[in-house]
Amino acid sequence: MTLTAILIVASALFGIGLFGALSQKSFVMLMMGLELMLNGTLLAAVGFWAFTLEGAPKGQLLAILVMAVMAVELAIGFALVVAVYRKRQADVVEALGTLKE
Amino acid sequence: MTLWLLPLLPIVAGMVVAAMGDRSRGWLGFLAVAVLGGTFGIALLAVTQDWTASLIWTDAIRLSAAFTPISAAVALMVPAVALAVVLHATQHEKAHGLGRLTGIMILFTGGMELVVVANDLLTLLIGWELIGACSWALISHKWRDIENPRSGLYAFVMTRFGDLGLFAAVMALFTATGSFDYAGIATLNGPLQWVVAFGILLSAASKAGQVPFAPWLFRAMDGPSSVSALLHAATLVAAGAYIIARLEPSLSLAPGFSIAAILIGLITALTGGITGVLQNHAKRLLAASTSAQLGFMFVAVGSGYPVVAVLHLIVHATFKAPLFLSAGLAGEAAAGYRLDKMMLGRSMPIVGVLTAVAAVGLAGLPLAGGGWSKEEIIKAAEHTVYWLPFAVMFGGTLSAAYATRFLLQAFGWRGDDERSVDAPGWAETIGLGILAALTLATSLLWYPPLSEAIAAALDGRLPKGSPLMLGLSLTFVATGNVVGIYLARRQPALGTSGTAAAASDWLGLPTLITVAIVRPVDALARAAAWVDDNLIDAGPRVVAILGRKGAALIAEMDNRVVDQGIRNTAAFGDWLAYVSDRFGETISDGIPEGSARLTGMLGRDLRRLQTGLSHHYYAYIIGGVIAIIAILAAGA
Amino acid sequence: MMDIAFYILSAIAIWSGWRVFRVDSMIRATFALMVSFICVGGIALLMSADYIGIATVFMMAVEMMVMGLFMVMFMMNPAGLNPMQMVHQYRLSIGAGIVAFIGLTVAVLATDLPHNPLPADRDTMRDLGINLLGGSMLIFETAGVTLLATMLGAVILSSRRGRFGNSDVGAVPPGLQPGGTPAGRKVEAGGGHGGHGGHGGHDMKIVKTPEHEDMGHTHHEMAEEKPAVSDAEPMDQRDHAVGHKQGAKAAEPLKPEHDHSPDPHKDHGNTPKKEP
Repeated sequence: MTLTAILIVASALFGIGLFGALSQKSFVMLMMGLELMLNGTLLAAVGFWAFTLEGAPKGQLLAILVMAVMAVELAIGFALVVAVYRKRQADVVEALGTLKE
Repeated sequence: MTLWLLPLLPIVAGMVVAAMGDRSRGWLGFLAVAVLGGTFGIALLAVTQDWTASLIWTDAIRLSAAFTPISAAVALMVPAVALAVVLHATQHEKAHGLGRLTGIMILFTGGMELVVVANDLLTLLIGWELIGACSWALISHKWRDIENPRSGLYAFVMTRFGDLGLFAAVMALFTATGSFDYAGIATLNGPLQWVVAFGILLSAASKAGQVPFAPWLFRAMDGPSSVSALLHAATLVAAGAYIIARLEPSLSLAPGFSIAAILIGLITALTGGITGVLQNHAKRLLAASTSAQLGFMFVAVGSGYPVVAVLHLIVHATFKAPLFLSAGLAGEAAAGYRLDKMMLGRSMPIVGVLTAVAAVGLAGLPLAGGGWSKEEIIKAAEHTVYWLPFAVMFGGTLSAAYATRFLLQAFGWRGDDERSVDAPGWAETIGLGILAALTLATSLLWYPPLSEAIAAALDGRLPKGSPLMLGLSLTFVATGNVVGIYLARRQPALGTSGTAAAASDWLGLPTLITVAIVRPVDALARAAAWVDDNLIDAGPRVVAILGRKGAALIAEMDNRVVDQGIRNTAAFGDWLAYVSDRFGETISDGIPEGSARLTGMLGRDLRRLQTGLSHHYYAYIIGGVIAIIAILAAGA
Repeated sequence: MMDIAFYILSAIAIWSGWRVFRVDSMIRATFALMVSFICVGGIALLMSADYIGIATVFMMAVEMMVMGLFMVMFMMNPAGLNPMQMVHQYRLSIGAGIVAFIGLTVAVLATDLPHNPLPADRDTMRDLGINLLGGSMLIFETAGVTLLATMLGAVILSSRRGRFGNSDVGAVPPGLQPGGTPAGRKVEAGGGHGGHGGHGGHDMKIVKTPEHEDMGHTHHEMAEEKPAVSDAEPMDQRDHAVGHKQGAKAAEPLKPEHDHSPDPHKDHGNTPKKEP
């Protein structure tokens, strides 16, 4: 359990999450990818706190902040998905093409 | 008043009339009479009041004019005779060019007056040249016939040659005395005196048509008859005799002068007489007689009696001028001057009578003025060598012969005359009449008191002669008349063919002149011209040729080298244009077009990124983040 | 001992994370994600970050519930009965993931990480609590306010009734081809054929109106019941419009869109353009 190992795990999770975010068509799956990425970030933050900060509570605060960000992002994201579905009846990412113009 | 007015009036008026051009005969006649009458009036005034004139040209050159008795007499005679002759000319001569003729004749009169009143050699020279030039212009009056200008030129060149003598005399006099005055001539001695005397004699002889200069007078007969009457009877030729008569006291101081004058005069008189007798051409006969009569004057001067010479001059003028005028009338009527074809007495009776009056004077018959003056010459000749008077008498015989021949052949009566000849009008005969009257007036000279008085007025004396000589001379004259009648009756065509024709042209003198003088001088001139053209001009010509060759060479080089260079440049320019057209265009158009196309493609491709789909944008963001991190990592 | 646990947990986390995107069933994907998060929480516990670990587990449990619900709402294949992969730019994303992983790993390995380990006898929980309500109160409060804003925002964003009318006004499904005609049944202006679906829609509507109470649009639904029956006839047109949507989305959970019709002229009077 060295910091290096934790960071490698975190980066692996980040990578998988990136893969998922880029490859999924559905909004929800996209959100899941984002969640995975934030998961990796959380792990990295905690690892840094554990191994380099000597237990200063500020490190944990960072982790709590990441969790808060996760929650916020999830909530707003789904609210947007709902609104988009109402307007366009779109549940896949490719349905939203008006940014093209 | 200044004496310059006397020559100036006719000179200026003559120029004006000549410039005016052709006018009506009446108008020109009136002008001539007015001008010449005015001249005569001025001469009269000048003589009576003894005018003089002088003109200071520079410090060394002073022109002067004054009268001596001799010059006064001649100065009066000249305008009188000129008036009659010019009047006749305006009525008789052809109307085309008449204004010019009249004007120049008046101008000539002015020149003659200048010769007469001159008191120094330079003024004389000026007048001398003026009358020579007028003579040329008048002889060549009908210039459309090429022979007339040629004759004029012949006369002019010959007299001009003689004028060299006058030029030499002027220069010698100036060298010796420092001025040109006549008075200085008497003070000369040594070679300069000889130069002055013989120079003047030479130019006088040439002007007077003496041997060897006689042929020019024959050629001068090609001019109109009025011109012949004025110039070559009365005045121009008389200038020669006049000047030696005027200067005789000074010139006779030169040794050999008198002998030379006598010899020249005698030879001319005899040969001229023979020529005259043999001549069939009316005017040439009269020309020969002019030379002969002037020869008599030379004899008189050489004998030491210049007064006699001047008197003979005046008388000769009065009878010779009308003879020329009538010869002109006869020549026009007979369409030619051949005496054997004339016999116009019946057609022109008045003219014939007037001519007879004048011919009597020429023959030297008693009771004619011409006869009196000839007798005086014989008397003068008595005072020299013993044989001279006999020679002069023989000359008189000859003159009587040709005078008779002329009269009888020109105006003799012919019973079978069917020709229709227009008698000349009264206007034409007026001039003739005036002169005939003057001739008659001179016969008064036979009256001894009158002649004595005149001689005294002329400041001279008359020679004394013996009655024996007089009788002898009259016998000679009568013989001459008989010869003349014989010739007129029996041998009218004498002088048209054979030896007589050859001899009638001054016994071959013109031929001699042509062969001995004209041809060698011409050859010399041609040689000089050849030398100048080929030798002297060779230098410049060679330079010119070299220059041309050089220029041609340079031009050739220019063509080859320079132009080739230019051509090559042009060809290069062509090639360059071709290449640029093929490749340059492609490249230079290709680059912008290619880059534009690339940019377009790039734009289109970039445009394709704008899909509007969020996951694509998301991918781009990830890619960008990775790139930034990579750059930052590389930088670190 | 801890290392082994760490390795096992991390392996499970990575594997389940990968499985999220490979399974056919959506619910299983959700649960896989939850497992991943729980493992991460476990690793946190191993690192003496007690609070964070436990909070993660809690949070993720609830989140996955929500996620599952949304799966069922929005996705075609919630149960995974058909194997399907709805992916795009597959290779690109694999590449990006691998690149990210490798890049980060290289960065980690290359840097010289400081080593200040946690003292073993530290009471981290107590420190955190004191710090949260002491020195870092601002962060805490800010986070709290942010969450409040989030909640408000979520509600507003997803509300049906907006300032300018219902949020699903003019909603048409996207075309099968981009820019093509909207998929599903066509909307007929005075259409009769649409009434077939509309009939179904009628029935469904009338029947199912009370079922939507749990959607959270309580005030809407209260008003729905009254006019829903009385306004049956004039609703034809609107029903058609609704009905075709109903027909299109027969397999899908009923959306709140069909509630548009009775609303505007009855309750709030703030949408005059829906007057019949």
